[in-house]
Amino acid sequence: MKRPLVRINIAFCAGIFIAAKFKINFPAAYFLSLLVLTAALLSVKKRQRFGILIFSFIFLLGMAHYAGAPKIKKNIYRKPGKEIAANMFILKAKTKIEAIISRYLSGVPASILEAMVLGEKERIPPLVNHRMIRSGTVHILVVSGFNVGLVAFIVVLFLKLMRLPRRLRILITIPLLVAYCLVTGASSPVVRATVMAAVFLAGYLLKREPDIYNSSAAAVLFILMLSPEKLFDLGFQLSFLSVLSIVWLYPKLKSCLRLDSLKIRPLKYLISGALVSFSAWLGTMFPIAYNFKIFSPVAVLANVLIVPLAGLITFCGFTLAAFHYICPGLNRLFAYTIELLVLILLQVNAFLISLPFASFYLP
Amino acid sequence: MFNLTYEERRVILFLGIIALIGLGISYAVKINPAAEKIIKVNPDSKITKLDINRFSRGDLHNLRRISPKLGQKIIEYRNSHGPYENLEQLKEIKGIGDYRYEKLKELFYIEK
Repeated sequence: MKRPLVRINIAFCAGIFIAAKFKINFPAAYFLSLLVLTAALLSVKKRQRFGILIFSFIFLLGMAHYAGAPKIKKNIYRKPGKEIAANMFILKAKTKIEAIISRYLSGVPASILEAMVLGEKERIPPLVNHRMIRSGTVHILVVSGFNVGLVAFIVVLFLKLMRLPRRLRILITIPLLVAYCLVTGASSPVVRATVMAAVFLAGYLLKREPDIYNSSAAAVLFILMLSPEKLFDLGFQLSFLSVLSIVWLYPKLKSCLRLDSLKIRPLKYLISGALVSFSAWLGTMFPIAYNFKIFSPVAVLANVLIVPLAGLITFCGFTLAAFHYICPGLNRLFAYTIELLVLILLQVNAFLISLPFASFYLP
Repeated sequence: MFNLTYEERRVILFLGIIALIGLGISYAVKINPAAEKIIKVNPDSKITKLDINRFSRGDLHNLRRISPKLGQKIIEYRNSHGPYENLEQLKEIKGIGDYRYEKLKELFYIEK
């Protein structure tokens, strides 16, 4: 397995986990580091020593990092009160996009689009949010890796239309993704997706083969280096669990069903979508059931139908924001389409949760 | 001309389709303003709110805005006084002040 970052990650996370569970303080972590390192050096064979040494070192680094890091309850990426120029710019950009959305769309579609594009959930009607939880599709109401991918795609496409060279396109896209991450509040899923996208793009820049496991590991390390407590944050766990279960499980299910040999294209896409949804559902089913006390078998079907719709709405949302500057006249047309798509999404969701055995509340 | 990939060309085509759909809807609304009600999300409808004269206790399960006890009180009021005619009647229930009423307004509507 040539995935050094994954190994480093496992060691680092294990260190944080042990430090948190056994409430190890900084001197104890330091003392334990020396003890484990010495034991590792004395016990293993010469050939394995270097690997064990590195593993132990990272494990202890994780432990010491958790023990030494200040305990911050709030989102550490947001620093209210520090009115630096960057923060002001981000706030202005966010307010501007909100204003554009509210200008063209009516109440409910505007609130849903704000959640999908900016991660702002405050204005969403409580019943809509509740029904999305029941159908297992509430993740579409937050900014996730999908949105980051969409922003990257739109930016690269726009820069390509402007005939910029490939390297320059990548160099411009990465800071813009970071800006988008900050505009949306830098929650764990967005930071994960931004780091993964940056690693992917950097891979293209350096002509290296991108590897999803290594880029996920880089994202985990980045988030945990900034805030080790995020390891116990549900959003962080669900974000990585869903990505890893899709990456690991989906190819296996696909080859099991011999999907590549299927000739009918629309059916192939439909089954692929269902398998991705099923993989993510399987990976996140237990943490969701444990934390939210809800089990939603309808989530697989709901995600197959609702995620593409949500993707369309998000894409239209970004287009709406961009066309406000390029050609505002066209925005009325986009707004009508968004209103219709939101209506379809809500109707489909309401229908799905009305199906028998759609969801169960656990005691 | 721009040396676009197949996917990028598809995205641009897709944008055109979205604009065309919007144009179609806009034309439909222009010739028949009632069409707007069909394609727009009504903020006071069953897809965004609960009908206060029809909801049951099961509908409130795990809903954050309202406790089961308060939900029961609203149902009891409906059973004893008949269907709600306006949401202001909620204020007559013990435990619902102006603040809570504003929160409940976002949850209920009256089917006309």
